[in-house]
Amino acid sequence: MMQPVQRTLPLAMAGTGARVRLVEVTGNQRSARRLAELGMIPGSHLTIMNDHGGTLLIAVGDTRLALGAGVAHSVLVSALD
Amino acid sequence: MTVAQLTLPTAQVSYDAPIEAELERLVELFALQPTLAAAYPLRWLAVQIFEGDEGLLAEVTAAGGPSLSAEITASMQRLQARYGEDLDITLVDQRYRFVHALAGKVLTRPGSVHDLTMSDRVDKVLTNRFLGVPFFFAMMWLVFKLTTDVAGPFVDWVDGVINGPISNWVIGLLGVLGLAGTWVESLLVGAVLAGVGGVLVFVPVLFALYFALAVLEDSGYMARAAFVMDRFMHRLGLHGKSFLPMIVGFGCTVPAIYATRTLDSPRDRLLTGLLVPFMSCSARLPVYVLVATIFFPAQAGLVIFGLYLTGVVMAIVIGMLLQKTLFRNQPPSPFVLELPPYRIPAWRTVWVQMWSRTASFVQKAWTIIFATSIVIWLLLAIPVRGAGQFAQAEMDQSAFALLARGVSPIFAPLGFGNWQSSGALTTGFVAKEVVVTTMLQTYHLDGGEAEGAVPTTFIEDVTGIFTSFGTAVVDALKVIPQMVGLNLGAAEDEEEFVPEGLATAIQANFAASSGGHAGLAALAFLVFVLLYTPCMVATAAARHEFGPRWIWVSIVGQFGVAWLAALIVFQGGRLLGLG
Repeated sequence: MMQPVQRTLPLAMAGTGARVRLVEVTGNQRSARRLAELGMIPGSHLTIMNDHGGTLLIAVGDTRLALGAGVAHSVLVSALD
Repeated sequence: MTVAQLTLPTAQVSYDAPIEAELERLVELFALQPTLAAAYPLRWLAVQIFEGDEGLLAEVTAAGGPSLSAEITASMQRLQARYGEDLDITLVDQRYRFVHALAGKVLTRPGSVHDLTMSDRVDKVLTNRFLGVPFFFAMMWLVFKLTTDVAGPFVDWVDGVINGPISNWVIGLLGVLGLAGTWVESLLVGAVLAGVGGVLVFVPVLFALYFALAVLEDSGYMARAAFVMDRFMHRLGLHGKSFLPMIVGFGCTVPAIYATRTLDSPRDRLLTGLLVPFMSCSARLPVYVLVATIFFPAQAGLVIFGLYLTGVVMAIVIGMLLQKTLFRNQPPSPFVLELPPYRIPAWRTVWVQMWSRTASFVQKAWTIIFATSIVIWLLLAIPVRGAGQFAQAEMDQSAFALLARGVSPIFAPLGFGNWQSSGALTTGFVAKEVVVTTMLQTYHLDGGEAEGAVPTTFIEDVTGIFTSFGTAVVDALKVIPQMVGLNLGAAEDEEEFVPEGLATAIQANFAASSGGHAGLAALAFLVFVLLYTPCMVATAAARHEFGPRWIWVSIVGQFGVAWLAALIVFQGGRLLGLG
């Protein structure tokens, strides 16, 4: 049986309230590392709590993170049902 | 007495077996290098090397030579073949797995991880996309009121104590020693006490500011402010985190420049550091208060608020310009910030921060300000013309006037090309509040003694100090309900603390140097004070952080910006027929 192709979208496009799974951090290696250290590891579940003109407030477990619009575009996620 | 024997269980993070094997191999190799074994925990060192710490890798290579370096490369290649290029992220991931597994065993949490916490509910309001920015500005307004209106009565109290009882005691003591009316009295009262007073007057203001900042930080709101302001800061080529140094800049440029260390990239640090001086620091406030109450008594508050706003607008304009020119090829670093949960500030922490930050300002400032006060007094005391003796010289015949006259043509097109103003601005490079001290000294000394002091006893003086402190507390408490909007309509009967003679002398002088446009010249002077070269302590801090080259950009650039802005205010205002 074929695995369904996982549809990814940038975190910035997911919309407030969405619950998503982190697939990949594109772009530079340093920011991927920094995000990983704060708990944003591929496979982790994120909730978008708030969107303030492109700057996102997200929940990763019990941690709350502010992400600039640029970072939010570099994070690829897939929807969780 | 029983001593609790506390042994913490040490849980070693365990990685996957292949990683563990390579870690062990590296630890064994490192153990052969005595310098490394003495300096670092070796397992930690091995993990850092796998995570790509370049500084440590260089140290290890220096200690172990090319053979060790080759072993490390081989280890990493074996692991990368298995885990992919992002070995560092794999390690972080495994640490998180370990922590989650451990937490899952020992923690039972009420509810689910998806439940909204109290903090989340508060955030729904405070970081709301419509309410967030207004709330942020309301907070800034509160901080501003706290440092001006609430601290105000205490500033007056400190001022009153130094110029009243303490000056009287010094004069009385000198009288006993037979030194009344000599240069010694002039030095002690005119320079030493004036200098000490100049620093101490700041203590209530800084206390209030650092109290506000500590509460904002400790409560968790500061991180939200960065979140809320991120989009706005983005236009300046910065991100929300740069807002903290900017806010600190309203207190003092020096800690603000050091606060840029919290930013991730050198570019962000430098750009923020260049913009921070445009945030009007608290040392400039006394200058605004003095000049604004003399020239615009009815709208002093509005003028001062306008100046603060002008500084912010200038920072925006300059930030956009720098981003399009000097920093054109450098995009801002990504904005990622952890938001701690809201909590009630720990008052002990708040107190420690208030105290240590204020104390460090006083320690740093007092020598410089003290030294300047004495230098200015000396320059004022030395007669270069006329028949005056040392310390008896007429003001406009002093060495100070001679020097200041040499500089003043620069300020002539701005409407304040009088030697008192240019002298005050020159000494302002040492510390902004010295501008006021210099103005008071240059205008005040002649005829200053005419004020008849009512003789008081020592006991009366001491009780006076305490009762006036009580009055200051009451006054400050009265202001607080007004801050939250109560009693807004009530007319404030501000006490006129500027001596009448001084006000008329300054007005006459500005009128003369501006060809009758005293008000415009005063406004241009205020704008100049707002924008020109930061004080030498701030300059030293900037040199420390960014290197000597950028200092000149800051010193010369800001002087130019200030000169142009003041020119536009004065000449533009004249063309429009204002003032």
